[in-house]
Parts: sequence; structure tokens; C-alpha cells
Amino acid sequence: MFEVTTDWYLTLSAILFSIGFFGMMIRKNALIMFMCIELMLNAVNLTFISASKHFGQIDGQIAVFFVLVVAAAEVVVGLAIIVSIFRKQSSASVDVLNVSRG
Amino acid sequence: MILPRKSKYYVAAFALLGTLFSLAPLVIQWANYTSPIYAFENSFVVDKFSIILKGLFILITYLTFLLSINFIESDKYYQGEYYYLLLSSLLGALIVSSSRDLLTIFIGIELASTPMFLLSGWKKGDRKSNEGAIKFFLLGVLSASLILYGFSLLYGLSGKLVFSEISSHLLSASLANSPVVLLSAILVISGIGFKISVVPFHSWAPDTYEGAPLPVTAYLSVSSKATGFVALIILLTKVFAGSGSSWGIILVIISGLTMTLGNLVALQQNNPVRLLAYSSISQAGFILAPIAISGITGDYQDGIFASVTYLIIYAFMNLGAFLSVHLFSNYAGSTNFYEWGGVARKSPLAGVLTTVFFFSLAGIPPLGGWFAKFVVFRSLLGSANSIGIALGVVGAINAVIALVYYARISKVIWMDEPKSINEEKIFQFENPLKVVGVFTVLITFVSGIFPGIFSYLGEVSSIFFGN
Amino acid sequence: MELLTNGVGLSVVVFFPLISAFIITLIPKAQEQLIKGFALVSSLITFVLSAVLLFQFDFSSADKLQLGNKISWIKSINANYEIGIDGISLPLLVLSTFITVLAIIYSIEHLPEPKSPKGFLALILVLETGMNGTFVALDLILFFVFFEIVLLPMYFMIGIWGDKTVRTVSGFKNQIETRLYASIKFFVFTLFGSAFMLLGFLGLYYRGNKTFSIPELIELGTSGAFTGTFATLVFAVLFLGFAVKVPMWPLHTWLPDAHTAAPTVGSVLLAAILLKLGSYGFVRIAIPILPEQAKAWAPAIAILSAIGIIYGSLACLAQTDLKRLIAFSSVGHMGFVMLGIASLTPIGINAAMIGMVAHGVITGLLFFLSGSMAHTYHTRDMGRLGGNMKLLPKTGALLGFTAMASLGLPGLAGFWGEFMALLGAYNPLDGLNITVFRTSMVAGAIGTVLTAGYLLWMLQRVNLGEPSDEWIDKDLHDADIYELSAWIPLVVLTVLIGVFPKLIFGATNDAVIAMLSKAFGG
Repeated sequence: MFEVTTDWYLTLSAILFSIGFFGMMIRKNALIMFMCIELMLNAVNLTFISASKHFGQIDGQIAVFFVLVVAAAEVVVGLAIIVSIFRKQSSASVDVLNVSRG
Repeated sequence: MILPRKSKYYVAAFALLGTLFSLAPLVIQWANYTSPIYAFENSFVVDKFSIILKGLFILITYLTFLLSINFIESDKYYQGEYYYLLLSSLLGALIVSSSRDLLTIFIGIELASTPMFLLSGWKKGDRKSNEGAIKFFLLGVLSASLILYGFSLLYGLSGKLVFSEISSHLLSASLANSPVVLLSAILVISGIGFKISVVPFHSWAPDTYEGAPLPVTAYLSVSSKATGFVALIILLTKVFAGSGSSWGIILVIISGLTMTLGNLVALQQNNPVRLLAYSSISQAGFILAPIAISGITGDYQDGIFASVTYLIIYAFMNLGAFLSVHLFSNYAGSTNFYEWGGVARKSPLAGVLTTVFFFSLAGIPPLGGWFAKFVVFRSLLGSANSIGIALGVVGAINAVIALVYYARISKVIWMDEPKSINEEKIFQFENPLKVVGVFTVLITFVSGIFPGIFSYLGEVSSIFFGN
Repeated sequence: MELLTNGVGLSVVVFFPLISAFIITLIPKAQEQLIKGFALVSSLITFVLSAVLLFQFDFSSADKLQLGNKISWIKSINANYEIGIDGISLPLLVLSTFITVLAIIYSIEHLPEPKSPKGFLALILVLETGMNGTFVALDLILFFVFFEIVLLPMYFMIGIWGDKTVRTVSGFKNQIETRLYASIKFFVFTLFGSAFMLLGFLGLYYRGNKTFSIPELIELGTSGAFTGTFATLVFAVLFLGFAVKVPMWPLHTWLPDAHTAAPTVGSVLLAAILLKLGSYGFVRIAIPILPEQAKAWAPAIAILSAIGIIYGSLACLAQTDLKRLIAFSSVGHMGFVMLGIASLTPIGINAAMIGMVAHGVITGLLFFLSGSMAHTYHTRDMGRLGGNMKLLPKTGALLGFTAMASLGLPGLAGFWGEFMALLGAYNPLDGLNITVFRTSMVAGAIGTVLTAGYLLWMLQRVNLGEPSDEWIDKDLHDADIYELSAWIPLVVLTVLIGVFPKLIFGATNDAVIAMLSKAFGG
């Protein structure tokens, strides 16, 4: 049987990060873009945790908590902005937002 | 926030006083400075670099508050939160300038930028403001995750979070030029590239600047940009110092593109805020240039010297430029500056201030901007490196192109026929704004005529840059 | 007298106008008389002080830099506030303070539209600081700063008080006012040159033991510290920076526009002083620091100068606009100056020095006269002018006199510059290509004939003949007391320099010989 090494986790996190990144690039709905970012942040967390496990240290896991807190704060801020836009135009697609010329 | 609405006025006063008092410990630290002081297991440092930049951040915030007082009172905005958010952002900037480990610097960057997402959407009823805010937010969070992924790779390689340990680990394991470290450097550069709005990560800036309340825009283009640069300088020189030749080339290309593209697009703008947005993109290219070259030559001290000097001088003249835009667009009631014909005659003081700030941005002696440009050219040519010299030539050409659009505003307000001047209408130039204007104009002149003072700050910050 | 010799005197000459300009901005707008009086007095004080310095100056050692000082300015880059004058800069410094006084006297009653004495006079004084500063600066960075300070006041002078005629300019979608186009063109051209010049200065700084001091760099340069591609590149960028300012053909195109658009006083200062900043830069910086490169480039400079002379004269023959004609004549005259410099001989460079002063005095006067005439007649079109002698006898007589001086009539100031420049070109420095120089000399000689041609033609069209009917019943004012008091000193100076060229050579000769012998040995 395979042994699941740290490399596997790192590869997984790289894949997750890439999915998130490309999702960010191609999707237009603010909420979905937002989810992609969450995916990227979780890929980061996975890297931290697996490295932490690999080195037998606790630093990386502490880092994860910081990332979680920051991500939570950003969710709040982001949802606040999205809600305030949604109230005005009932759509969360960034395509609607074309008032100014790029 | 807990104060009743009537006493909102005190919030501003309290914020102003608080910011001013926070300068005091800096002065004491400066006076008693002997060597870098480390705290929290080497993750936080007090060196002259951080003291100077903290002083800069605090002064910028102070001036932004002064800019904001009338602006925020004029509309029904939430005042308490406004000042609170700006102060949080300031705290983030202060943390960044002292941070020496991955987590601290990340927290600092995020603390500095998250409040700005909210502030840039402060005009809730305005679609432009909404659009600017959401663009800024999405790209801001994306940049945060890029930076973080870069950090996590570094941690994965070294198992360390403190910069000095990471870089010594990378050196001892001769990993400095391994692909993973380079990937991590690229991720970090692109992440911070959003914060400092360099090409190709600049697309949010004009929209966000246009949508945000003007004091916030001023703060974004000065303080947030400076925070990004400080983080970049710290990361590149403290973590990625060993792989300088690789990121140096990347930054040289980014810097050249940024100067040129920012300038060329700025030439076509008729909205003064967008013009300043693109101008500040172009200026970012100049600030980046010495760092880029120092990566190739390895002479980080010279690069930091030039960039920090540029940052300090740029901060004040750019704040001033936003002040003048605020004054005139308020008076003329138009966001197309071609309609400002002859308005300087209505308030010669504001006209002179505008002229000073814009020509300073263009780099015309004896105004401060020339010295900022000069130190950049000096560091580029001093590299005695053909890439550096080529970048210097690109910079020189750009300095000339930039003159055309910087001069255009002065041309319109002084030379064009006064069409929109209404004799009845009073030119509003409130006292807090006058304080900002006079203060920034003084700094702009002093930094041009006696640049020694500012280059001294740049020099000590580069020499006493602790590990 | 200690104060005068240790640099304080020179500093006051440089900065007093700036301080006065600042004080003027504090005087309320309504107090026009006070503003004018104050500007006049402060420019007079500056001039008197520079005249006092003239007496402090030790002419027996005019080749040495005197009355100067050196204090630390920007420590971290080793730029110093280093000033001083020698025989080369002295005449130009005095000329600059002198012309400024005349410009202010003229402005008292003849302000261009929109009248706003406060801004206009303050700008003149700021301009004076820049001009004086450039002539006394002995540090490359200080020189650069002063060299650039003149841009802003001149930009605003042309842009605000300039010619409002609307015209079509290629490259612009809409028609544009002459002043707006000319002001930005002037600014961009000069900045383009000086941005590269700054890079050149930095190059010298890094190769030359990190010093910006001109005397130190001259020592280094003459001992052969700057060689090879590096020196060629540096000379090329310095050339670009100075040649735009002179202006040399083909970088001259901003000049006719700027002169035509500028208000009278602006044209006068531009022609009399600002153009000299470029040629002075060659003599003070480019040639002594990079002598070998100067030698290599001299034939090219000579050819460009010769083209400039011929081109300027021919262009003059094609003009219908009086002011534009004088502007193109500047291109020709500055061509003689540059031809003299290119010969790299004492006689040639002395010719350039006297040529600069003479051109400043004569062309300054021509612009005064043409500006006044344009003001009186409301046109500069030579086709409509005519019979000026009968309509405005005083102005007409002065115009005739000045045109004679400008075409190089012996006995007047213009003669020496042209004649000696040709002499210099006939016999250039050893090792320079004789054929090129003699050809340039012949071209220059043809240029003098053409110059005489267009100036006489101009006189014939403007001064002589019967006035056309449109002026007969008009109430035309001849020169008033302010105009005359601005012009007469220039006339006197033209004659004095023409008869006693030693006034200038006495100062310049030793300095020029010393500079050249240091640069080229012997």
C-alpha cells in the first residue's frame, strides 16, 4: 500500500490553491470568487499544518489559527460590502459593476 | 462610537490628539537609540528604519484626519467608525515596519488593508464607491492569499517563521535559488504588488481611488502604498536576500513597465483623481526601481536609502496633490478638470499650492520631487550595471512624459479662460485643510532646497536596518 | 569687505531676488505701486551688489575662481553649496542682473495682459535667482537645480501672459492658443535635455571619486580620468542638455514658438540670458571636464553651428512676423557663439563670450523694440507695418541702430563675436579637422551676408517707406520714459562694448586661456 507522506499533502494543497486561483480568474460572481479565496486560504492552512507535522513543531499550527482569524475578519468585511451592493442592485455579479471604465 | 452623536466632534479631536501623542514615544526611542532592540523572540524589532517609517505613517494619518474633518462632517457618515478604522489601519502599518517574522508581518499587512476595504466603500449610496470597494476587496484578499501561500512554502522549506532563521536556513542549505523559494518570492511579490499597485497588478487602483472618499483615497495612495513598500523591502532583504539576482530582474521589468504604462494612461485622463491614481502607479515604478537594482547588485543599503527617501518625499507631495484636487473639484463641482478653467484666480493660494504639488510630482527643482527622482537615478547609475543604466534611461524619458500631464492641471487652472467661475460662489478652503496645505507645501519646499534632512533620514534608515 | 569675498555677497546676489519675490507675494494685490516699486528697488539692489562685486573681483587673476565659498549642502550624496566666479561667469552674471533691472523698468508701465503685476514681477525675480545661480554654481547638482529653476517662471510667463492668437498646430486636434502650445513645448524640450544631462552628471560623479564639484572634476578630467565609451556617452548627454538650451540646430524648434508667444519681457530675458545658460554650460562644464571628447565632437558642433547660422538666416528671410524673425536671428547668432566654442581656441571662445554678451544686449533690445511696436500697432505682421520712422521716430531710430548692431557693424558690439568666431574657425585647435572648420567658416561668412540681408530687408519693410493708410489717423504713441530708460542703457552698452571690447575680454581672456591650456595643454 502507499504511504501517505507530507508530499501528498503539499501536492493536494497546491492543487487546491490552483483551483481557487483559476476560479478567481474565471468566475464573475462575487460570492463564488469569495469562496475561491476561501479555498486558497485553506490550501495555505493545509500547507502550514502538514509542514508543522513534518517538522514536529507547533509554529505552523499557530499560524493556521492566525490565518483563520484573519480569514474570518475578511469574510465579515467582504460580506458587508457585498450585501451593501446587493441591496442596491439585487445581483452579486461583478459584471453589473461597470460604472467606471476599467 | 460610544459617544452620543452631538459630541462626534470630539471624536475627531481625540483622534488627532492621540495620533500626535503617539509621536512622543518615537522621539524618545530615537533619542535613546543605541542598537536595534528585539522583542517577542526576534519577531519584532525597533530600529531606526522602523522609527522613521512609523513617524511617517503617523504623520500621514494625522494629515489624513485633518483632511477628513470637514469631508466627513459634510455628509452623514459614521464618524466614530471612520476614525477607528483609519487608526486600525495605522496600527497595521506600524506593526509592518517593525515585524521580523512571517506571522507578524502578515497580521500587519492585513490589519493595514482590511479597514481600507470598508473605508473605500464608505459612500454607500454611490455605485462607483461600491464598485471600487468590491474590486479592491476581492483583489486585496486574493493578494493576501498569494502572500500567505508564499509564506507557507517558506515555512514548509525551513520550518521557521522568524526571518533571520529562515534566511540563514536557506543559505546553509543553499536553497536560496531553488524553484520553491523563487515561487515563493514571486507569490510574495505579486501579492504585495497589488498593495503597491504596480503593473500588472494595478487595475483596481483607479476605480477604487475614484470611488472612495477623497481623504481615504489620499491615504490609500500614500500610506497603504508605503506600507506595501515597507513590507516588500523587509521581506526581500531579510528573507529573500540570497536570491536577489532572480527577483531583481523581475522587479526591474515590473518597475519599467509600471513607470511607462502609468504615465501613458495618465496622459489620457480627464478626471483628476484617476490622473493621480495613474500618476501614483507611475511613481510606484520609480520607488521600486532602486530596490530592484539593489537585488541585482546586492547593495541593499543603497536601494533602501533611495526608496525610503523617495517614499518620504512622495508621501507629502502626493497628499498635497489630493488636497488641491479636493479643493478645486469642490469649487467647480466637476470631476473633469478641463472644466476648471481659470479657477486659480478665485483662490491664488490654492492655485499656488496645486502648482507646487504637481510640479513637485513632476520632479522640477527646487521642489522636493526632484531630489526623490535624483536619488533614484543615483542608485540606478551607481549600480554601474547595464540593466540599471537602461532603467535609468527609461526613468528619464518617463520623467519628461509625466511633465506633460502634471503641467496640464496648472495650465488649466491658471491659463485657460475662466468659464466656470461664479463670482458669487465662495471658494471653500477650511482651516484644517489650510494646515494640511501649508504643512505639506513646506515639506515639499524644504525637501527640495535642503534635501539633506530627508536624505539623512533615508540614510540612517538604511544603515540602522536591524536583522 | 570680508563679507563680500567669502561667498556671502554672491549668495545675496543669487537669493535676494527670490526673497523679494516671496515678499511681493505677501503684498496685497491692490497696492500695485508698492509692488512695482519694491520689485524695481530689489532688482536695483541686486544689480548694484553685483556691480560692487565687479570691483571686488581681482582682474589680475581672472582665471581663478573668486569671491566664492563651499559649504556642505546634501551630505549623504556629497553635494555642496559651492559657488564662485571667474572671468568667464562674471560678465554673464552682471549682464543678468542688469537686464533684469531693465526688464522690470519696462514692466512698470507696459504689463502684458492680463495685468497682474504681483505675479509677473515675482516670476521675473524668481527667474533672476535661477539665472544668477546658474552662473555662480560650481557644483553640478547646484548647477542643475538653478538650471531648472528658470523653467517654471518662464513657463508661466509664456503661458499666462503670452500671445493669445489661436492657431492650428499639427498634432493637435483642435486649434490651440499660441501661448499654451509654446509654453509646454519650451518646458518639455528643455526638460528632455536636462533629464539626460542629470544622468550624465551622475556618471561623472561615479567615475570621479563621488564628487560633484566642478573644479575637482576638471582636475580629474584633465588628468584623463574619463575615457572611452563612458566619456563619449557622458559628453553626448551633456551636449543634449546644453544644446537644447542654446538652442543648436536641429533642437531649436521650441525657440521661435517660445519667443513669438512670450510677452515682451519674457522674450527679452529668454534671448538675453536663458539661451546663454546652454553655451555657458559648454564652456564651464562640458569642455573642461571632458576635453578629449570635446575635441572629438568639435567638428560635429562646428557643422551644426554652421547649419544653424545658414538655416537661421534663411528662415529669417521667409518670415512675415517681426518677432519670429528676431527669434530665428537668435538661432543664427547663437550659431556663431557655438562655432567659436567649437574651435576650442582662445580666440574662438573669447569670441563666444563676447558674442553671448553682445547677443544678450542687442537681441534683448530688438525684442524690447519689437514688443513695443507690436503693442502700439497691435500687429507684428511686417506686411502691414511700414514707415515706422515717420510714425514712431524714436522707436524707429533705435530699431535701425539695433539692426545695424545685430548685423555686425564694426564699432558696435555685434561685430566682435562674429568676426572673431570666424577667425577662430579659420584656425582651430591643433589636431582638429581644418577642412571642416574652414568650410564652417565659409558658411559662417555667407551667414553674415545673409544676416545683413534679412536685417536690412526687415528695416526696409518696417522702418522705411510711407506708412500705410490704416495708421494715418491712429493715435500712435512713441516710446515713453519707461521704455527709453530701459533701452538707452542697452544702446550705450552696445556702443561701449563695440568700441572697447576689452570690457569683456579683460575679464574673459585670462580665464579662457587658463581653461584651454589646462584642457589641451599649451
